[in-house]
Amino acid sequence: MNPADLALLAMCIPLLGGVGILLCSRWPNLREAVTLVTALTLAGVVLSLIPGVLDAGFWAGDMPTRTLMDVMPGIPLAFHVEPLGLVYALIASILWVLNSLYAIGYMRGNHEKHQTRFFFWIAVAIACAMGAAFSANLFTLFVCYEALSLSTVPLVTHKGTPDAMRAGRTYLGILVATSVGLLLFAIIGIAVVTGGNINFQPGGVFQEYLAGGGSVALIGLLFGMSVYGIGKAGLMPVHRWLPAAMVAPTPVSALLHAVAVVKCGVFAVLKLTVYTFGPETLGSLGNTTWLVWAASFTIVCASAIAVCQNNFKRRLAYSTISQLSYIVLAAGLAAQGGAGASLAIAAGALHIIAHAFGKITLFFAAGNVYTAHHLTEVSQLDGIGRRMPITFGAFAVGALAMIGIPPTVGFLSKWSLLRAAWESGQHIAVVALLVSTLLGSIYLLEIVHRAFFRAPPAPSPDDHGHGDHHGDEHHADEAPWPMRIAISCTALATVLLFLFPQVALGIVQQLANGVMKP
Amino acid sequence: MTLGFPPGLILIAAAIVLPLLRGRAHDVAAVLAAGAALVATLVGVCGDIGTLTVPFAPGIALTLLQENVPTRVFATIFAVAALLGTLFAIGHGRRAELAGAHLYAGAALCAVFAGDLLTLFCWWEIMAIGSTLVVWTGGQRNSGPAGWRYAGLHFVGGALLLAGIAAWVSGGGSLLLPADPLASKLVEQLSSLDSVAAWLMLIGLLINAGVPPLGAWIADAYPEASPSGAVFLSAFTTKTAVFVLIMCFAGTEILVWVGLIMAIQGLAYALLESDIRRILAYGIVAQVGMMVCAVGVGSPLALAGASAHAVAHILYKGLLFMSAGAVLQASGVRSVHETAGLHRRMPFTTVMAIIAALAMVGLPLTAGFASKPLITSAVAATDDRFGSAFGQYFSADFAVVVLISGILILAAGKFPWFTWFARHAPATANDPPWTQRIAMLLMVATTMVFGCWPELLFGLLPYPPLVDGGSYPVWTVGHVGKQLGMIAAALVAVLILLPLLRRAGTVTLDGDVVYRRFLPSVWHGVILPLLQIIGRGHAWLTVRFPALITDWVQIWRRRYHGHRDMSFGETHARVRFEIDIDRGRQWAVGGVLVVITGVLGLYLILLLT
Repeated sequence: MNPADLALLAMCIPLLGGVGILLCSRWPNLREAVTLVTALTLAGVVLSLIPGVLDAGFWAGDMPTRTLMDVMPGIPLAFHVEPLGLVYALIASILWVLNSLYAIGYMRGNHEKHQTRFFFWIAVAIACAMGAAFSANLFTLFVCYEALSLSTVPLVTHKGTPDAMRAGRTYLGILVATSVGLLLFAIIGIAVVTGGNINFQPGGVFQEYLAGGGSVALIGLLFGMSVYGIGKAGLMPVHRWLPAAMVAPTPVSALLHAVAVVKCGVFAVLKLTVYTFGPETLGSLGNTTWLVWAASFTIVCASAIAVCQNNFKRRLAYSTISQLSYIVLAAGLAAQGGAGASLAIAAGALHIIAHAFGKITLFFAAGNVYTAHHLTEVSQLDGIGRRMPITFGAFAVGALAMIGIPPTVGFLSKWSLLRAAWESGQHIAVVALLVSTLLGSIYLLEIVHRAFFRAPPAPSPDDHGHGDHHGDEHHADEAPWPMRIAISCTALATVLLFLFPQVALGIVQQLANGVMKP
Repeated sequence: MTLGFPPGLILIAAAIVLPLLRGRAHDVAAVLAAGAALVATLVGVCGDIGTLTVPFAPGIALTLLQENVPTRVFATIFAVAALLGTLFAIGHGRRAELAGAHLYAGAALCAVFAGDLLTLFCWWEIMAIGSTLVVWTGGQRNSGPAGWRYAGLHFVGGALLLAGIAAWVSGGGSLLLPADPLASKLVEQLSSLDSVAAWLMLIGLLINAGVPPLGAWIADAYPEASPSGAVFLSAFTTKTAVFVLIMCFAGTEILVWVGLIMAIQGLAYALLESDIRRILAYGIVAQVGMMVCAVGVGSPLALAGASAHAVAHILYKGLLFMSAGAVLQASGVRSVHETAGLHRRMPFTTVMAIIAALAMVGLPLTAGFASKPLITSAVAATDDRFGSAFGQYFSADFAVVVLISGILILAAGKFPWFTWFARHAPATANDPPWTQRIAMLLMVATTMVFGCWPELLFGLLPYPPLVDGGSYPVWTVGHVGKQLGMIAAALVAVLILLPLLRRAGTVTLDGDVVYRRFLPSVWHGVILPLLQIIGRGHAWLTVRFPALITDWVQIWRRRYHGHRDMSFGETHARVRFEIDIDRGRQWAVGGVLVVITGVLGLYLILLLT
């Protein structure tokens, strides 16, 4: 089968699964089985795309593209498979499997309402993510990006409380305002300037325009509008939607706000940098250094804010903002052109993987604590690690991945980023990475330290029987088993991806090769 | 026989398995693993080490196994320390502690076999993880915060090292670590310190070596470990740093002075301290300072001396930490002033501590006796290598002699004297159990073996110290006489100085006060309030202010169009309720657009002018 057809199939599978979920709403066990089977099938389909991308002759011919339909003449909805999109699709689909398992434990453990709706919208969101991952032109990417924003609103507002509704509006407001207000205009601008060429192609679409004496400032402006227009990348000051979204149930925060949605943003930034603007073009402009500074500022600032947060999930959210800017930083370094560009792109793609596995582990831990003990604040976690050794053991591994310490995959991306920063001579990026390492070890190790090495608070007299739905004396110490399995798998994956990085690095290397294609 | 794999992997595997085991099985497995690692190391050291390279990333292969010139001596002593430490720890520490200790020792034992910078860095960071676990499981009052500071500082040191390596590679350097530091282009380029890469790497390494003020973590964290944990900690981190300094920075001039500062600082603070294990921790700083100094000299004899001294140091410092641990374990008291009169209750431990102190001084028949002259004669002989800089180094040589005398006083005097012989009521305490006694005896045995047969030690050294084609003369009348004379002088000095050393309950201020006291108070007193003010201002501008305006507009509009029958208060309350729900959208869209337009406008202005 043509890889582009498989990509189309990858988009349809979750949609079909979503229909199946709706049909099975009366039988929860069957419904969950449908979710799991769909997720596994999708992961299988996406995994089957790997050999084709790793093929040595991948960049030799044109990429096979599949056009779904022409929305307007010259503006088709089209899909193709390329390494960067594959990276994004892989993490979203593989982690959907684990997250489904986790969500089953979480939703049942917390007696959440509207579970069918919940699983349905997650499936739809994954379908949108697949569409964005495999999009072959700017228009398709934009449509999938917006659809992803809209499909996740019901998940953010799942609880239905006024707080949740307000957070949902903030979420949608910022994401849609930035994308419609800036990204859309940037896309229109690109289309006007290049004579309608909005396809993604290695090296970018601006060569002819520049050769014809085009305006350097205009391209720089379009690039800036794109980067800030992609609000999902969380570059400050367009970051407020992410902490707001933390009101959602934890599986949503874990899969969407650590993986699918936020990675859609940074993926789009990288994709535009590589395939629309082109590192060589951007490097020749000479006016893109500001992005390195903006990303470095976000990295440091968000880390500093994370140190101050007491709410577990908010702390993780600010950590995510900081880590997303690692990837934006990679795009910024790539935009300097030169020898560092291919390194930087590879580092960005690698960090998409590293952060996905690491951060989902951290969110899983937050959800486990909430499910088992109804704790939401960092200051309540004293001594909890001895009661939940699996959860917090996994959390510690995830934390190491976020700080970038071997033997976790986070080390690989940090190393590549540092290399790229030196290659392109952006010393501020090195400083930002160092400071972020320090702040990261402060705000993440504090949790590990509290959980394992501080005495638990003295139990209050009315502790027993209160808040325990079964009314018996025995409190479950650990979270339900599906959640434990899920968190163990993701933590293990961060280590395994370090020990056996060949496939991940192979895809990333293929991407870097393509960047340098004339 | 060829080794074929880094023996530290056995310990790391054990670290993964140990937390799953309970009771006796756990103890036996721990000792067996450490024993197996020692046997494997000895197989490699006596036979052939071989090489092991695994493909890692495109274009990067990790060399996990390579025989570096200083590898044999460091691997041997690390494996011995791991086994004896394990023997001392079983049955006492928490399970997590022994797992962490094995991870830590295993990573150190792997690091000395590393054949490239990336591999070295990975083991370096895993050591930091393992040792943090050891500190955290210490069970002392401040184990938690101390471990946290320890981890943060080491991760930052690691990040500096990594940034340095990245800069090195970007500058056209190779990741490969040449096996012989004296014939290595890497050392040649790094030791001139003319690149950012070299400085970043050096600072990262010096943090681990314990150079003041960044090295304050030694005295901060080691006393907070458990009795057995401190034995592990005293062996690996600083000595691995010395190993890497030999491999990358042999002959860097600045290290001579850095080492001297360390030696002076460690000695001075040790004399001022009263916590037994903190005294010993500062002793580490002083002794590692001597090794760093020798690395800075960089001649073959000096590198041999640094390695030999690392061996002797690990042995007697381990024994001292074991004795101090036994005291802590038996009496629960940490200060030298509170545990007096123990020699009646703990005769065995007393003998061990005295032997360790004498080994530290360099008594004949101990390893210190064989190692110390190498360093002193290497520093004295620097004119061979830096003829023009002789004057500069002459003072260094002199300072080393002065310092050694000082360390003698410290070793021979302070710790055993105060702890065991000062006249106080005896505490209720007993000698440690048999496993720990065996561990201590084995430490003594190893020290004596190297002391009685120095050629065994010299055979392991990176550059076997040879004089006129023969082995380095240790057993000469002059040398033995000099050592004995120094010991005698030190004993006299101790008897005279003892009244001066009797200081009770002081708290010494070290570099760690910067991040233990000063930085937190700046954070809480200045930065946090500032952040809060900024945060409030930001919230007011983005949320309150737009909301205030829209509130009033709507209230007045509805008052005239909708709810004429209501009082102003009722309208206000009702509209307010409706507005509350709308608020998120308003500020979100409005605020963000304003900010973005501003940023882009600025960009345009900057660009077009």
